[in-house]
Amino acid sequence: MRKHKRLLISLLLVLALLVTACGNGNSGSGSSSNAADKQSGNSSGSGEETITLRIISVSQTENPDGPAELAMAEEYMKQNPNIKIEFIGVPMNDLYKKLTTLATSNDLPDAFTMTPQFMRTAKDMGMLANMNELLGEEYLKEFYPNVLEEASVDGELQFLPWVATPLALIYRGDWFEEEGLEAPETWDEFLEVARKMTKDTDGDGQIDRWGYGMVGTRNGSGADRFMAKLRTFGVAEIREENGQWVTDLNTDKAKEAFKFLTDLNNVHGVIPPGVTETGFPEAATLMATGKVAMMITGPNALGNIYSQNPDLKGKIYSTPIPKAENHAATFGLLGYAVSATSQHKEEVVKYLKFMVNKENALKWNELSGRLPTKIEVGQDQQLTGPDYAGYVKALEYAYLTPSFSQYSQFQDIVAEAYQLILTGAATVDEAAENAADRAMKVINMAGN
Amino acid sequence: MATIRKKRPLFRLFMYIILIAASAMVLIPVLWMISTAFKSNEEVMVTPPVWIPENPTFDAFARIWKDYPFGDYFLNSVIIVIAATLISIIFSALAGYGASRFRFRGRGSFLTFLLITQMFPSIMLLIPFYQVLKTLGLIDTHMGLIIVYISFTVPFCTWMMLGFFDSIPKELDEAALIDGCGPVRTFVQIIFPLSLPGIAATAIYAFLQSWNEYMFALILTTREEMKTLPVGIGQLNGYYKVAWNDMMAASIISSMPLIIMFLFMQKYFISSLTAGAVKQ
Amino acid sequence: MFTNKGKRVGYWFIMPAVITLILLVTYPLLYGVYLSFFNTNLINRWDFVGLEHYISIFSDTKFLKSIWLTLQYTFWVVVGHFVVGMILALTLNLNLKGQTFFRVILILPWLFPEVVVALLWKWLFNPMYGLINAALLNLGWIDQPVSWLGQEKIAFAAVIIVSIWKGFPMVMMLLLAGLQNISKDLYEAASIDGATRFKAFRYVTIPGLMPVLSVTLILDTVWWFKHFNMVWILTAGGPGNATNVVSIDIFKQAFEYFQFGPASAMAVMVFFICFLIGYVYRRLLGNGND
Repeated sequence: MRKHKRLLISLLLVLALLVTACGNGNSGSGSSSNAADKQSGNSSGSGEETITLRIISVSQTENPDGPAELAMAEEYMKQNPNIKIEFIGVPMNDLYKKLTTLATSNDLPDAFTMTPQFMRTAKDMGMLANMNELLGEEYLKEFYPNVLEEASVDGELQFLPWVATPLALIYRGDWFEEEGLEAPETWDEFLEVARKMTKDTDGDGQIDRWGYGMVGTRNGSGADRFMAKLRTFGVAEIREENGQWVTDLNTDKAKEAFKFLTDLNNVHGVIPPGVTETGFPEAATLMATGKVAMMITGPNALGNIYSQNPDLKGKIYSTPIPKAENHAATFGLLGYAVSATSQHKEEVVKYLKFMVNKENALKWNELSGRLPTKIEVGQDQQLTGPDYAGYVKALEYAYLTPSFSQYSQFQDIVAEAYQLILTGAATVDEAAENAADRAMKVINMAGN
Repeated sequence: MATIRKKRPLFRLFMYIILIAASAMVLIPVLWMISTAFKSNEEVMVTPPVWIPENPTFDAFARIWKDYPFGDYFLNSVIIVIAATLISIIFSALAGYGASRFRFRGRGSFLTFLLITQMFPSIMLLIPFYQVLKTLGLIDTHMGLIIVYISFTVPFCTWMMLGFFDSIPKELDEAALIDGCGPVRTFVQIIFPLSLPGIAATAIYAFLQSWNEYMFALILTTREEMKTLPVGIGQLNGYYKVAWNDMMAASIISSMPLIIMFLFMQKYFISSLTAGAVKQ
Repeated sequence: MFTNKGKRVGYWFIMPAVITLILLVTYPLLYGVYLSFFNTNLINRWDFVGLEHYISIFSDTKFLKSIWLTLQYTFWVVVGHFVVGMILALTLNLNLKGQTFFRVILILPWLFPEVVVALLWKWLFNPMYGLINAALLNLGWIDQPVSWLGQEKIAFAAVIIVSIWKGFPMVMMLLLAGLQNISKDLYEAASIDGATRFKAFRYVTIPGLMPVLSVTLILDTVWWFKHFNMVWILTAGGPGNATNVVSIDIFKQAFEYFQFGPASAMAVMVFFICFLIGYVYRRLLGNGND
């Protein structure tokens, strides 16, 4: 028996060796370079030593944004040989998961993508460095004040706003001209043009073109659009009144808005089949393939649509989202925050400033179709064609994301409501009351 | 016997119909995937959809290697998954044999524990896993993912092995013992070869599980050169657009090694091997 | 073999597996349970709230509804896996001509990542560009494109079908391997005793498969009860709440609302339900391994 025990132990030892050996072998180059990075990262960056800046970027996983951002960073490294920039590409869908995980282990990189939706949570977790101090009040004067406000919590700037993607209505200018139609200003006009655009174009008795490609999926993408539409009816999913948070979701106005916006599908049939499974990529494809005449989206969608169908260049126009009471738009801000634990705050801020300088911001504006955040760049931006005109106007109507810590729950509350109505699982009244119930629960929870 | 023989041709026909129907259900989506991979960006969106692209193109395959470092991803996946599968199979074969042949104390608890590890929703395990690997200094290394995948696959593999070992008569062990073999030799020389069909099936399970795992690979690696294939494929499913043809091409490439491996393992499924050996 | 010394040898055999699992899995499990008693952002806020999260979960019918929905979803998926898997495994075990060919084809769904399978089917179901609508329109079975994932009942069925499609090959392969491990002698003995095909199946095949069958059944149930990826991509829980399985609730609580306490409490409940399912199964199947 003892002999066998020895045999077994030696077998285990061999295994252990195998494990460690292949571990070392595999990660040989990887782990050593990692260690080198850490070393240079810990040293103070004086003199000739290279400083590595690690940046989590969602652009890195998109095309053509990723390569363009990389080229920008390479240019910066050429100008500053002691800086090495290392991007960590994380898809937008997984960004918050990754950031939360890294933060709990105190492993955040120097800078990372940030949005107004996530910044309150991130601030609460102590992830973010104070940008007012790092950037200086003087420098911040170069930005649109309302953009800065959108990126701030209690007057404290949480991240450097890089681009804005406000929501507006894009439509097929060529089709509108053919029929002698004008861009809709109100929802009634919108319904009218949507009806005219919905038709059977090849005469086989089947409708094959629709007025409006609505994003109706149950996610943030659908919910943000729907909430902007609710705002044009004067309905706020949540707002502050006398120092108290309240919701308008079960007001008569809200019910009217829910009814009108879902009737577009359920009654008027100006939306193609499958609205609840039409996400942003699907809706953009509908637009690109000439299945729909209008959709509500950010300016970055234009690049996406043109890349699918280059013939549409010059045929798509934009205008602010139609109104019942007033126009409305979200900012759709995206930017970079600096980690509170970064050893190289100064250096990373210098790079971020380089990214938003006039030359780079203009380049980015042209390439990605997203709008700049600095006043000077905004005046000079190249995107003045009819396809972008509506976006520049839309920015005037942009409203601030409510500074409510649990705001992301409202996306799901509103999305559940419109999906229930669209599928006929609930009446407008039921869905609106259910949404308001959920909203009050969240508000009360946050109040405690 | 005679009646059975008479029924045979009809019976066989029926069996073939089942196989062909099932294969069709599987093949239609898969062929659609292949067809999409060979389409150009414009043709992907054509209505009504066409089966055979008018201008078949390898662009999507080329882009995968050029625009994304799929070569690196591929290599990482191969290293991690092969190591994880081998170790996992060895660990679970040992554990399965131990639990099958020895009635030690805590045996029942051990087997229950294995099942319990599978019962907690994995999304809630992301953050603590990161913390564990960080403590071990294994974030962003092959080794880190290898041990994570071992821990994912060992429980089920052990149970499978236990099942297969249990179906091999204990008399064989006893005979070996009488011949002077110790438990280790009995295991390595007699029982292990007999359970090859089971081991092959279990190995395929372990391999696939690790090969296609996305969430943990994404969170536990950071640098571009450490990413695995599923993470690369996941990036093609963008927030703003889905690169259909690229993604289908990537998943075809990523499943090729599995198909080849599976073809190679086929022979271990041939039953006469076991049946013959058991008879002796 | 069964001497004291022999018993101890067993520990050596299970040691590597035990060490790995204790090292890696124990802490994450306990951490998850621990979180469920706190209101926390995991970093600088740790307010102990005791059982509050559990109480609020059960005071709301929403959670119970999604558990019920998840149970239904799991039931159909697992039944699908075993019915399809068993039929195909038995067929493939007949040594028909061309079986290698069929075996390779039938295993294909297992080889693709879940993300890809879900997106592929979402694309097939697409009302405008999807293959399914195009084919049915062509055949004249429908005269309007159908939104498969946009109607409550159909979406639920569609999600189940995709889950069966993805998961049956694993059950099939494991059953096939189990069938191959059953000694031919037993069948010969059965046929000498004059057993019919059905009787041979009942008294030789099923008992022979039992060890593999029971654990596969338990784990298949548990895995699909917790399933998240494909449902999330296909419907994200919609339309309305038609496919809102419990993992989607947990995911939203944790990584959309960042309420880790309630999310963990839900996860613990899922854990208990899975444990219960496993216990009931083992009772019913009379697993002799304890």
